[in-house]
Amino acid sequence: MDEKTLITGCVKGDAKAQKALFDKYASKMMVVCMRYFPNKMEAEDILQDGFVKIYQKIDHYKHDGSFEGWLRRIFANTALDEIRRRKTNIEEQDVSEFSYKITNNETTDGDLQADDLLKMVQALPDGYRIVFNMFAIEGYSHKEIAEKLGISENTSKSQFFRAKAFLRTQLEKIEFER
Amino acid sequence: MKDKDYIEELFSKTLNEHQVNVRPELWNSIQSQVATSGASTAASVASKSLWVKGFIGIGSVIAISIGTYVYFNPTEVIIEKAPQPIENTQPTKEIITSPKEEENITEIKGGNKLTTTTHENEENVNAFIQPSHQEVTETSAPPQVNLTPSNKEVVKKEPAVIEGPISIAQKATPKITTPEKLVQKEPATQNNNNNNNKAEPVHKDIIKPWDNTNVFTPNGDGVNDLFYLEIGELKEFSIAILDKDNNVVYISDSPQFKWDGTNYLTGEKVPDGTYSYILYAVDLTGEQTRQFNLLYITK
Repeated sequence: MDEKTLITGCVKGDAKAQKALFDKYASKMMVVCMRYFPNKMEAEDILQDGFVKIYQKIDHYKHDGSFEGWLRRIFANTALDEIRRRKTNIEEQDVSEFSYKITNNETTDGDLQADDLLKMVQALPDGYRIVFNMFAIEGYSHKEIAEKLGISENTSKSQFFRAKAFLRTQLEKIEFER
Repeated sequence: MKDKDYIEELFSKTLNEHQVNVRPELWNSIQSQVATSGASTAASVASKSLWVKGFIGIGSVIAISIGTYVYFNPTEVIIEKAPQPIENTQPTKEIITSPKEEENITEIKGGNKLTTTTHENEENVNAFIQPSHQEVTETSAPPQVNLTPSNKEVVKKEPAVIEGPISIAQKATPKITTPEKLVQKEPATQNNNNNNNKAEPVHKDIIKPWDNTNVFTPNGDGVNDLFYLEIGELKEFSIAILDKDNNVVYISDSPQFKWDGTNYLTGEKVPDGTYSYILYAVDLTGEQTRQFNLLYITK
């Protein structure tokens, strides 16, 4: 099933198309959810809610811009809604409170490396992680992040730079090439 | 301003392509959630178009009756509309295109039928149409919905609902939470039922919405043959009944639904056993409720 038939099928509420959409994108979208919620159960909840939302609102998709990007936004927004609902504290976190070790980095081929990076992001404290996700991966501006999370732009920036600095030292530690 | 350094690039590139295995069971609960909410959307769209057709029908009835009126009583019209001779040309135009109109007339008969049926089922249609409005407003402002404090409880409940189909189905005695907000005051409910369904057997047959003994016996003996809920007015409502394999056997989005124990796809009576239903409702204050409950069928 190509993307177009998939989408039109889902707009009609066709169960086969819905399943196909799930099969095609679930494993990628799970990564989006896991970036925001390191706990697997929580990430799965977000994944489910996101898919339900998508099936309900797929007729709102305008066919301008990538479909996958649209899906990503929905999952990211679902995660952010939950983060807001929980009133997750973005600002006060102490890096010294957590430590992170990458186990099993003997092989550095494609997927394992990605797994390591995901683990690294997951190990970041909430505020670092959320802001880093939004800015570096989702491509939000600091202004948008500030609005979405109800923090100041400066907080967003400082959280991001700290997150980046932290990730950099982590990367150097495990001797990523480059 | 945003200069992407290698860390950003490394993470965004790698993680955007990255995939993680997803438990296939997740699909089941997504499917059942979609089944309940999807049913209401589809039905409301359908009923909307019914209304639109009805209005078109009425519109064309009026147009044509004016046309024929003008056609059969030309003198009268001319007298009436003497000051505006331009208007008179319009009826003649219509007469010229009369072959087309004949087609229209047959259509209108259909249109008329539609409107009469909608009148008969006025209450039902209203019930359908309300959800569709709600649907629209909801989708237009999704982020706010989660922010409102009243919504909190509902969202919290959700994980429990999601796990429900698997965990509860195995237990002999289900835990049933009672959302008081959904059950309207008794008098109001009774009035509702009496008005809408005079022919229905009365109270004995009603399985109360949150009754622990959700047993129902669709064997045609006049006792407990229909499954329905005593619910007052709601903005939005949908229910899906699932068998033990989570296949949908019945869907409705009318709070006044009555299920006689037949599979809505095949029309056959479903076998005895344990079923579950998932319902989604929004009451008049906008409070959302999702319910998962068991239903035992023994004939």
